[in-house]
Amino acid sequence: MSTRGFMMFAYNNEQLDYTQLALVAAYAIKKHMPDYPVVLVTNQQSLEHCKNTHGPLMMAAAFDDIVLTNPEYERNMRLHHDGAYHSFNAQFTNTNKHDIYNLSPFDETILIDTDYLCGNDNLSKLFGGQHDVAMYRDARNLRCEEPFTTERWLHYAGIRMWWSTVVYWRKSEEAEHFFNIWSAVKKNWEYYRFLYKFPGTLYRTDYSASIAAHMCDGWQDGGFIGQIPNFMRYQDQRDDIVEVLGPNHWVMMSNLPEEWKNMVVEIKGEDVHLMNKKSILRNYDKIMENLA
Amino acid sequence: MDDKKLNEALAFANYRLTLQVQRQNIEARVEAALLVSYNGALFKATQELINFVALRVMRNESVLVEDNSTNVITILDSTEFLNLLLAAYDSAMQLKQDEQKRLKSARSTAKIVGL
Repeated sequence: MSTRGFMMFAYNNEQLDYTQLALVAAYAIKKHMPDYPVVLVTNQQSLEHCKNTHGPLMMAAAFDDIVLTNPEYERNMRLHHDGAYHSFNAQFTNTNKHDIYNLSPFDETILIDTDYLCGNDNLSKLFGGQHDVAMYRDARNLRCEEPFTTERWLHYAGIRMWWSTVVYWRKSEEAEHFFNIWSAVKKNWEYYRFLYKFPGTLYRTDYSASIAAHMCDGWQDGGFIGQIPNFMRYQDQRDDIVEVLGPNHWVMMSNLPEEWKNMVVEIKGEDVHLMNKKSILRNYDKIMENLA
Repeated sequence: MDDKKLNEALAFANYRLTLQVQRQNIEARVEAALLVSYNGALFKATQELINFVALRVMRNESVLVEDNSTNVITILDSTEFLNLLLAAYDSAMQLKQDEQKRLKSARSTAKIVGL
């Protein structure tokens, strides 16, 4: 029987307590898939902060193991939005995401971002599946609309984007190739940015994973990566939580630049990628109350 | 048209939009509920697949079916597989019916989203 479990990265910065987000994400996994262990990857400083803020009991309930790493500091400032009316810049430490292949203690691993909250047990259906690597290809916002073109394609005449928010893989030669190419893309980011013609300077793991998938597949889209069924539901950074009604039951505000188009949406029984991280932190007590 | 009437009309438009998004979100939940994991493969419990498997079970024949990624999967226990498909289909339809009933009686934007 192969070992199976979930992993997530959490490196705090001045603005965002990623370990607190990881606690929420881990509790959501334990709520809907209690049989699977959760391993946190973090650094010493974030770990100490988490221990001091939330206590070892809460951490033990969330994480079955903690892996300490110390990724080299690389400036990677990211503009975040907290709802429609507030934005801020924060360091985004995601440069060692591809190292997860070597850090994982499991034969089969699902790596999730700390702002991805499970709302059912569908991800567990990936274990023992037909593919060595699987990710989401499609996403829908709260209004069930597709994201902007830059979140679907790396370039209008380029390759399709895979979301690295959730990455499933089975330890295998194929998966190792995938993560090795991801690592090479990271190391030569400027070159691949030029080659695949995508805009911006922010290091995006969605893009590096998409390039690795494309290269691994023989520079084509031939089914090397398994597609996680249906689509990834996401709450945009400009959206917000209105009410937490249950462990997987939300009323959210879907905001647009034109205020008169804002609307409330009910999300129930689904996994949700809550990109507005501060909305999770603001509702931390209520969410944890429902997940505990 | 005075402001009051216009505001009421715009509030109604917002209600209609919320209703439509809610319908689409229910469809998304139904799609997720139709997923069945069997023998390391994922299937969607469609009426077509259910009927095909049921026919093979009735004729006591072996079952080879394509999964969601078009891999051909040998179904070792076709009766068990059929039961899984039926259970997923029934629970998805029950979910859809319950939500549709709730939406039918929701006459305000707040009611639609469960507030």
